Amino acid sequence: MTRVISVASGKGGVGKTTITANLGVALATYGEEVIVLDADVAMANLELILGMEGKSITLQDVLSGEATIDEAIYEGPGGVKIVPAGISLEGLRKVKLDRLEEALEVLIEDADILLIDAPAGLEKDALAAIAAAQELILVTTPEVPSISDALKTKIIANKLGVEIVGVVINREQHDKTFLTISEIETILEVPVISVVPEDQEVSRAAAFGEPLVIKNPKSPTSNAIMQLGADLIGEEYMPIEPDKKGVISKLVEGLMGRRR
Amino acid sequence: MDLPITKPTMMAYADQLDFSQLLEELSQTKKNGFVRVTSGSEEGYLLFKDGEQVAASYDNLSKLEAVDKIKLSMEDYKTLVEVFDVRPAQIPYLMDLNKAHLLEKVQDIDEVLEELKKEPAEDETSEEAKETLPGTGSEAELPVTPDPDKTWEAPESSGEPSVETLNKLENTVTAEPSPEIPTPEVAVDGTVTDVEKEIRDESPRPSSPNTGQESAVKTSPETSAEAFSQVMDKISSTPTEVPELKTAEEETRLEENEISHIPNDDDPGIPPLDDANTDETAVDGSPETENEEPLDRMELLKKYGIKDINEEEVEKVLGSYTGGYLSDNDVEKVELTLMNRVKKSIMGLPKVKGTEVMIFLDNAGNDLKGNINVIMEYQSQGFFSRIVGESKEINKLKRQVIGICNMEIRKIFREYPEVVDKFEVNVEIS
Repeated sequence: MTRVISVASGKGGVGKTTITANLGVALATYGEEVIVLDADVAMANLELILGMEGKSITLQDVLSGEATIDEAIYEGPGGVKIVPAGISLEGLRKVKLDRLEEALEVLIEDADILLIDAPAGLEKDALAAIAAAQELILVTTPEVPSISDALKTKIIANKLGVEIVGVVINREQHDKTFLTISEIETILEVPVISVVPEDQEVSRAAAFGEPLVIKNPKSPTSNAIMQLGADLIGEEYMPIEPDKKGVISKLVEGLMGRRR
Repeated sequence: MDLPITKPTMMAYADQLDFSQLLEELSQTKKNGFVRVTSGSEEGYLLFKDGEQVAASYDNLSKLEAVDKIKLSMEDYKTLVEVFDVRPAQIPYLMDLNKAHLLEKVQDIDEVLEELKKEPAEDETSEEAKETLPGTGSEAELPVTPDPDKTWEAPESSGEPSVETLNKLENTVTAEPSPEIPTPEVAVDGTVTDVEKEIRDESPRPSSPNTGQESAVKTSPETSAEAFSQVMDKISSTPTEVPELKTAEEETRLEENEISHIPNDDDPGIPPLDDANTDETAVDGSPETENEEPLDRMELLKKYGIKDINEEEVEKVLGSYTGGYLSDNDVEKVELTLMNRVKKSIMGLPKVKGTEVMIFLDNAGNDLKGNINVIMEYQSQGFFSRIVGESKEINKLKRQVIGICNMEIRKIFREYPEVVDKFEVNVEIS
């Protein structure tokens, strides 16, 4: 039976799309048939992160009744299948969200796991993306505004009958002013299932249009996301240690301005 | 430690005051504040809450080690001692901010601190015989007599340095020879603090501030040295011994914590993630130095100003999702209803002989839009009136009809009045 998992946050900019894209690739590397659906038709970013922008048929076309869902599925990196949302403003006018559920019914026939990248906020499109799933992964940063919005999303999801798998704390920086894991778990009343550290490599990977778990599998963020994927499906994962550089070589690189 | 440095209420050099007497005074006056000792480039802090020492740090040392170092620094006449006041309301925040340096409340540690308040001369008479510990290979480094002039540095992490630490601390108290300390099996970084952390990380987290190994010391020993040795024994014991140290109460609390963290049984994929795994997924191994007490959700919400959502707000949010959308089946019904209501209202206007209303709702986009076309037959007053100036009346009538249409739209879409702006009304009068 297909698992339909929505990745939502409430607050925008916490890293939902990055987590969803990379998690999808991670799950695909474990051999799962994964489809990642970008449900944020207004602010579609998934295709940008995965370097798949410019696809001719997108979810917008499907929701406008101009194409079938099968025509909007593309092969992505790592074997993951992607349904891009489409970034045409013109196309937004014709979108009907009630077609989303019909589209999903087709998608789940072919996949082991369907990941839905939900829009931020709690507008109709976000609620539709949450309600369409059986399970929800909340993504938040360890900051008060994010936690506050995540709490609202969690309560709404509970009301919609969606099971909360857990919370992913993204962009962790071990700052004293941030909330701790225990505090987040207590406030949200949901277990923390992953802590993903702040990582410059994320921006770099997005700029290259490559998922981080492929571009830099040794980064702590990649390891955290691969571990999350393994935990979701009950697999074992051995973290890949980064190369140990000498202090001097690091210093030289820094002084000379060299970057890998 | 992170403490607010303001103007000190008292300042003196170490040779100008009796440090133990100062501590006694601060205790008796139930001081809320902190003492800063500055020795060369190093600084130490002792935080007081109602006269009780609650936190200590010295350079990169914390807790008991810091207290010991502060005491040692007082032997240098050049050490500067400053006392700062803090408002009582600030103390909990400062304690929260400096969790890593909090002193656990243990009767025996209080006794140790009492010992530290004693004159340094008493300590020099308490020489301990050197103990040969198995596998250390570092006996030569263990000092027999503490040298006041010697700056005590934290031992390097080689061999079994935690044993050195234990010996160091034992040398400062009047004691009988303490029992042979078993070599800890866990390699630690050479400080008592790290040993405590190691044990805490490897064992399920007890929920009270008193860690397992300290609260396990139940009996009150006859001498402070015995008490101290017992505390150190517990700290240096192997991880496998930790379960014996937990009290029944902590075990019960611990089980409750574990249960609260276990995902639902009907969760399809995720294996149970206990606290240890959660900590492991915390990349860079951030130490969980927070309080072990169960966190109160309402207090946390209040502390961070986060509002919980009540049922009414949830229904409102969901209402916009389930109720604010027109399906295709409802569009025709809405058109028909709106048409009848507009027609009826227009026919109520004077001098209107007949009217035809056509309504088209556009439900294709995100927002509801529509067109209303009204064709009316108006009773004119004659050929001449028509030429001269019925235009004013006709314009007035048009405005009235447009107003009627807008009002009827608002009546139908009461909760979404903004829809009115999305409708275009055209009126033709013949």
